[in-house]
Amino acid sequence: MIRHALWLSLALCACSIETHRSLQPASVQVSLANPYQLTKSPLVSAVVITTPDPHDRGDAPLLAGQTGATLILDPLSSDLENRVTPAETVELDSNEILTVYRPRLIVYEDVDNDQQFNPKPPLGTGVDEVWAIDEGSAVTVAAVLGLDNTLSELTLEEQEAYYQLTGGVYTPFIFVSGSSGRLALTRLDQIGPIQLALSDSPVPQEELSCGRGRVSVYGDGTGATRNIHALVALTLDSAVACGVDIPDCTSVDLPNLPAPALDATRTPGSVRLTQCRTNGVIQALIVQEAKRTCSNCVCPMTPLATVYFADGASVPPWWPCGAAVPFCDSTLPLYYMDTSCP
Amino acid sequence: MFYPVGVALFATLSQASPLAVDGIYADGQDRWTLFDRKLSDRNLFEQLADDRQKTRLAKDFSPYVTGASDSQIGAQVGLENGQLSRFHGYFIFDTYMSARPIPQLDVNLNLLLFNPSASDGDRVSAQAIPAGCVHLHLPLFDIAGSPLRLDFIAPDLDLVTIGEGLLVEQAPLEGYAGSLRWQDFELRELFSGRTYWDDDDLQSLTLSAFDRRLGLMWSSWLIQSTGQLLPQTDVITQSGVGSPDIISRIQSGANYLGAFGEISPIPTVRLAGEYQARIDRRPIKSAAMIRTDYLGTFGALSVHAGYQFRYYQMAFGPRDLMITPSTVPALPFRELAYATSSFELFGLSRYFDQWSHTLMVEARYQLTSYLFALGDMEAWWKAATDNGSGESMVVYQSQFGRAPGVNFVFYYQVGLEGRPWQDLPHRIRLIVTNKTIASQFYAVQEETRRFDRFPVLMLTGEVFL
Repeated sequence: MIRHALWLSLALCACSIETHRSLQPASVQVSLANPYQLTKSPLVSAVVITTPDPHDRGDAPLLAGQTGATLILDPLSSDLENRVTPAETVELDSNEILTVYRPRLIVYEDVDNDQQFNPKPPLGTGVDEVWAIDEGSAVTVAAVLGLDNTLSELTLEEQEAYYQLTGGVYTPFIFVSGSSGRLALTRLDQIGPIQLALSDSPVPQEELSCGRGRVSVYGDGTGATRNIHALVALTLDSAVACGVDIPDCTSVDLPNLPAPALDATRTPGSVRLTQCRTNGVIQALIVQEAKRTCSNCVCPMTPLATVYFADGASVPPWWPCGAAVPFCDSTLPLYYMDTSCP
Repeated sequence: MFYPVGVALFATLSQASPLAVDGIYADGQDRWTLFDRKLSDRNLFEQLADDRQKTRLAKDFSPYVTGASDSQIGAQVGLENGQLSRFHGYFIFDTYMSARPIPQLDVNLNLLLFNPSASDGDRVSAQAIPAGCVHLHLPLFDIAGSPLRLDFIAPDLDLVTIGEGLLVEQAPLEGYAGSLRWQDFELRELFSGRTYWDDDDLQSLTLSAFDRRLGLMWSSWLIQSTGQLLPQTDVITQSGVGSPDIISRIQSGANYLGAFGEISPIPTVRLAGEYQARIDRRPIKSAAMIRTDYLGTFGALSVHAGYQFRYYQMAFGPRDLMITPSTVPALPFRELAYATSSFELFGLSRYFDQWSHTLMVEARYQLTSYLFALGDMEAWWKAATDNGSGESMVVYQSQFGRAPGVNFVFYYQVGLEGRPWQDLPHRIRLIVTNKTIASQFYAVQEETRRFDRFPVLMLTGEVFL
């Protein structure tokens, strides 16, 4: 009752009316998945605002960087709103379209430990490496550009719908999913922590550099390859392997070679597969390795197979075939990895 | 000591308003203004018996049938980038007919024939809006020597004001109204089928005394809705917003309990107030209105000066979501109401405390026997805040700006009125105004704005038959 009386008196004297209200920041929960048990440190999560201006990709884009699971997003300045790219659209309803920008959520390795995000070239001039980035079409946060102008164009019902998206908070940040041109709004109660997957590939950094969904990633390094380097034991005639199919062929003293790494690896950035083959006389050890590289927004993974040929009657001491590496019974040539074998 | 005070209070309550038109049942038009009054779709016999209607051609047509027609043509010139309102080259024939086959029963028809814009092409947008009203009015029996009277009207309620107008003021509604009256006491029930939204009904029960100058009210704003936010639900659902579990806050309505009162300490002054509490909320939400009016004549000058204060506490309004009220029909006679209205305040009510101060002045000055000068203004200062609520929204309302914040709107009308025939009310008006009725292509399409607010020069001609 007292409060009512106070309000009434305020109303009558027409004072103490709030006329200015600032846009509120938003928080985003991120969780870092590390399915490949990669070891990198120190890792820092961050929000990056991308603009065509290279300078913005240096120090400026880092709006927030915390090692914790909550990122705080501050509203963009009007200057930055004019420069972010790409600006995208999402339908609020069939009459109204919101212009939004999706900042990138990343995890980077603060290699120089300077607590600044300064990525390595070509993205920046530093040494920090980006090892995780929000997936292109997954649910992520988006900033509505020119929120006040937008709200002033909406009906009360549409503004009500907008505030249901923000939980009743005057903030430009909402959640969307989908790819550009087909973005869809996501209800606030469906938002969980945004998953970032730690990678050892250069794809996250290339994605940050090239733009959301603009990186072409192909090849997984596991298929049979003609990119072969053959090492033939001196006890064998090199012609058993070397020829048109394998021009890169060398006779070597196998027993005195260091044993190759044989542990199987399959991560986003690298692959190592091994397979042994035999024709009854000759044994072949195939060690196929691949590393993903990126250039000009293209990130292939091209495998290279190193094939060791040994006389089945006198294999070197480190020879793993039949022990650590099982034989694969295949009709393919000895130097081709048969992907049908386990 | 209290006896003289009580007598004085009773005396002021019993004062008749200077412009009151006696005999119109449930008259919803404002009596304290210099705005014109339109005919009502009931009690036509009584209305036409008024001395100011003596020139009506058909008023004495028959003891059983009477009629009148207000004909108006008008044209506009846009004074701001050529902008015109919907009614910018129009005619309106507003015809009223009433049959009284027996003394206790009236059958009323209001037929509106009009074309809002000659620009649309010959008869392209011509429209007809009929409204029918059956009015039963009869004495039942005597109590203490005075008759207990029954009135019942349906479905056209014409312009409705509940109480002093805190909830609803001069809104054209359909439904029914019925009352029992004994001396100056009345128990009235009113039901309107569509008030401010497509999905609402309004029911109001009023117990009043002193010819409705003091009353208690219970009102129930019924909303049979899922609270759908946006019309294109399918689209929104596809994009994830509008699935029913997020926007469907099924709301059955809002209940109000209130009181109103009005006194006239002198015949030219009225003080009125109303308080309403939304009692289905805890804590209850309140709204209040105070209004005072002066209506006087100084020789050739007639003046009305009024002031209104309104306060609507956050979540007082009947909707549990921000949904813009809408209204039909959009016709020029609705310019005869002030912009200050709950209609403009209920949209934001869910999240904001709102209060407003309004100063309204109308003046008419007789320059010559044939020529009058007129000037009207309404200055409305409106504030909205959500202090202390925990909400932190910023909302923009069409024509009224940003909330929280303070907004000021100013409506005016100045011009000349000529009455070529001194003894007849027919007239020509040339006015500059920034208050014109906002309308879609068809006047019966829902409109969320009541008025357009840009300057136009208007020339109108009116014949009252």
